[in-house]
Amino acid sequence: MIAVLFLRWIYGFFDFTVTGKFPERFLNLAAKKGIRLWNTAGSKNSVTASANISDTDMIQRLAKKSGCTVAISKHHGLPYFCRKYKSRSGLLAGAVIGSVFCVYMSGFIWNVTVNVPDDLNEYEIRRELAETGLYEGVPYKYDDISMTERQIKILDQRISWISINVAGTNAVVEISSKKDNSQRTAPDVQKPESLVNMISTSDATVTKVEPMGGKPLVKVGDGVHKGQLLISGVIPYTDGSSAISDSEGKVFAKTYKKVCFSVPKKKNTVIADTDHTCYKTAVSFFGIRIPFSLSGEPLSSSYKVLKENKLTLLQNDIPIYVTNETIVPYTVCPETVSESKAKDELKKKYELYRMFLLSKQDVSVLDEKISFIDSNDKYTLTAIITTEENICEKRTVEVRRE
Amino acid sequence: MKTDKDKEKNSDRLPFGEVFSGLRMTVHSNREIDLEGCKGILEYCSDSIKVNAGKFIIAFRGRGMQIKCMSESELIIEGYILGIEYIN
Repeated sequence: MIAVLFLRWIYGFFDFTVTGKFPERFLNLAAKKGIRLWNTAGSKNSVTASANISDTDMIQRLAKKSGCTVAISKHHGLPYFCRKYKSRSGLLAGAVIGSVFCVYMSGFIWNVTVNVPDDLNEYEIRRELAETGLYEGVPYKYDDISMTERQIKILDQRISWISINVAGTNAVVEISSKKDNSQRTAPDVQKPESLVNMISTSDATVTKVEPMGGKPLVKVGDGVHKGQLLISGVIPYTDGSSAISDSEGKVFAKTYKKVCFSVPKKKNTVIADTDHTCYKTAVSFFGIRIPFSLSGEPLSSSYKVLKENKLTLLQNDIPIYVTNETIVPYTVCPETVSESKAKDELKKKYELYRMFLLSKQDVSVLDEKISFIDSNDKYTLTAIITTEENICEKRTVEVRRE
Repeated sequence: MKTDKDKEKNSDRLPFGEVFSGLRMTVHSNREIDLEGCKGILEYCSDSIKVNAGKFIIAFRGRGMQIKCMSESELIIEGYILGIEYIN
């Protein structure tokens, strides 16, 4: 029904009243001639209806033939609308310019959406895309997009696959990184022709052996070095033959660790001068930047905090950015670190390391010796930690049978 | 040449005008009436519409009645229909 109403409006129609002694005769004649009438309403000696513009002459002829008079009450539709505003050429010019502007602007990329995996930086990818020719405001060409896909793969070796899809004025970039792909390994299939040995992770003295599979090759009190075989996956039999089995178990050993932390005696402190913070606002559109503030940048050293907001219209991004810049001047003050302050800082660093060490499974601290050294240019904390921990690490060895 | 009997047999497949020369009236509740095979309108006002059906006149009485659309032999009447009267 909406389509019918729209078509009627496009072609134009009018309301009229037929008055006479017998207006029903007019309706009969109109029906015979195939004239479409709607919104008909009858009353004594008159009938009102609506008809297309093209039937105006025929209606007047039929009314005359049926001895009635026709009075057109109202005109509707586009032809009458255009006639009404015919003298106002500015409106027509505006409509034409608007249409041309819309058609012209639809040939540009208005919005670039980049979907990157976690190991890639979106800002870097956007910069690379801009270098290769894809940015907001660039004219859209299919060949250029294909070229961009190829160029970006050459430019950034971390990218394994890229797809740029342009829908209307929006470009959606999908990227897959090589690292991302390398994580997709084949399902772990148990190879029958392999054995698992347990080897040492560090130099240590064995304190406890808990084998659960395989043959232990060390005993309590033995000194082992890093990479030494602790539990073997090859089990020998008394008759000289051997069997292969996955070794499993724990070997606890006493290990010594030496760690050093240092703090320089003199360091620079940055003091921000927030009283003289400067704010700047600008609007960017297709690479054109229009500043909206007159304040200049401070002469001293300063750092900038940039905040960029993209405007949206009816949930669609439009390529207009409002940039808020906060410029904070700062001064660098050299500071001498006192001994007590340095000790506190070094203790905190050491505590953090200790917590990290103890967070591992099967680790306990037996003894720790901490020394504090005051040298020419720095304070150093040295700690020797004695721990008891499981030093076993699995190492798979492939076996080839002949 | 098809006889009237043949035409009646195939009445399901043929247009109404081919089979019967009279009027066919379809009444949708008391709100709408479709007429096929009418010969023209004789009276048209909001409370009464009279239609020429050839051998007789049929009059519809009601409130807010209007002709929704019409062609040479078909007519759709809309409104609150209160009565239908055959006038010979």
